[in-house]
Amino acid sequence: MTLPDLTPSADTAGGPPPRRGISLRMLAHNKSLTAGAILIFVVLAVGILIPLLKPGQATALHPNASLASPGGSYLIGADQFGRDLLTRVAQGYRISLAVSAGSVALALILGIPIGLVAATGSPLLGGIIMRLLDVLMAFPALLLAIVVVAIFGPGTLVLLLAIGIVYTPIVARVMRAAALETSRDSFVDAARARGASYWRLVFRHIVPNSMGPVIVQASILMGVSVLLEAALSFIGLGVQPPTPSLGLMLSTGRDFMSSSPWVVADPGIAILIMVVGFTLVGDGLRDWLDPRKRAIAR
Amino acid sequence: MTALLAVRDLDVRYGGAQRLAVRELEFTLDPGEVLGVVGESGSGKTTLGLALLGLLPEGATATGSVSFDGVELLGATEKRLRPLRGTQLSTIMQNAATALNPCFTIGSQMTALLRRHRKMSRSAARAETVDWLRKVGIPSPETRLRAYPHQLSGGMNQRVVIAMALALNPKLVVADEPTSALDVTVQAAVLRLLRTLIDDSASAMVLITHDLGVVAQLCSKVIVMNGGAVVERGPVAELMTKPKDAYTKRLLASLPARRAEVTA
Repeated sequence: MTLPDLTPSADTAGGPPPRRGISLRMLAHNKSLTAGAILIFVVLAVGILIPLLKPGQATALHPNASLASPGGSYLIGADQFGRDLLTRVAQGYRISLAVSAGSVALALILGIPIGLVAATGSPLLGGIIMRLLDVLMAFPALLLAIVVVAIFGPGTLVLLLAIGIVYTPIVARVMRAAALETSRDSFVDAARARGASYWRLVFRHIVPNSMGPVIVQASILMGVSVLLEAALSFIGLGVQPPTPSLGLMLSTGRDFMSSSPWVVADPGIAILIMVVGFTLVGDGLRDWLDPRKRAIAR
Repeated sequence: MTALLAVRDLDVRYGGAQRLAVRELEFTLDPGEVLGVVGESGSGKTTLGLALLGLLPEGATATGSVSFDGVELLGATEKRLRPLRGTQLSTIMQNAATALNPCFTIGSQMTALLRRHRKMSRSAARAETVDWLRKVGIPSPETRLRAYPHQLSGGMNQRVVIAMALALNPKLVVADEPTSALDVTVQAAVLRLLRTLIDDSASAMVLITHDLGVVAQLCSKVIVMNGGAVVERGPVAELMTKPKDAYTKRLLASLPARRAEVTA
């Protein structure tokens, strides 16, 4: 703002007409988002491309290549049955991605409406919902998942459902907190004062302005659900052999750990890359969606 | 005797609080009148505004009567209030920076409002929005339509908020500190704009402010609040020149000298 000038346009900000607020340059400023995105891109590329290049190799047995060391035609080694670890890791990525994306999607589908109702409904209803979710959250995630698997039996789809149910209360809580905060903003009151209906208030004013924390939480949950999927498969309650899964590979490779460390190192590192990738993306998104930090990056 | 707005015996208490936030408030307002409500922070003036709009937070209880155009607003259900809001009863919020939804462009927010209440077509609503933005002094409104609130200055946002409050031609506008967040120079321009728009539309307005200078510029009558109660009321000129209450005198004394002379 410069010198006073009482014409009605005194407060006009000069410069070019406004554009949309998101640019690639801002993305580049955000190191963790960039690093995380690269890792996830690598995971996706491996998961999609490798099984296409070597069809059938994930489960094909080659007894004479048993525990082959990394190098040559077995880039990162082979397991005790001579199966190519790279294709198995790639297949494992596919399963992991499907399970984590599916379970997080399920958690969002269930958790967002629950959180919204808890935030915008009557305080009594909100209280009841939140106490029920508290009960659910009091169980350790792994234990709760084991209970679900115990009820429905092991399998990839059950795994997805189990992890989704475990995460629903987390998403609901974050959604509720964000929605409560947004509903105190004065534009929500202003919209009410202009005659907006309940649905309009919720879907046009509260939801779009509360999704930031939910998106961040979802990407962190993606990483955690990779770990949970691996853990459940490791103890035999998740993906069933012969389907390759990172957790299952760790479990069966254990016996050869001292003589052929790559049998467990490969899936271990694969899990690490994926989890770190999702966590970095989550961190980066948090910074990026935070309006205060965004103003600085601009 | 049909005042547009008649407030009688209004008491507001926030849940559990000992003191009343607003006590035994009474006033009437005719079409075209602008009532100033003055007082320092905590005097209950914002609470009064919320009570008039039926926007008191949960836990606050109001007793007495607020009758708007023959409709009792106190204790009215949302269902009853909704048809009035926007078209009959409107508000200009205190802080323009937060009074607009940051996720949508100002154009989309304003056209949505027009389309919803006036059942206008998309293009008609757009044209009307452009007209209004021009009317409130926003340069090149066709391009500004596509701006998000964070891309505009505080003064521009306030103009948009004013345009949205007045676009449906409401009978009553409750403006809570409409210019306090703006710098002094912009304030003057926005006030003049409000004055013109109010004169044009014959709307009535309740203007809540702590600034007697603003009152002098805009209002026809004024009530002074302290501790939730009215300590003095009367036509603006009278109150400015011959204040009776000690608190009003102190308020007047706190005005910068030059401004006090201008208004006297």
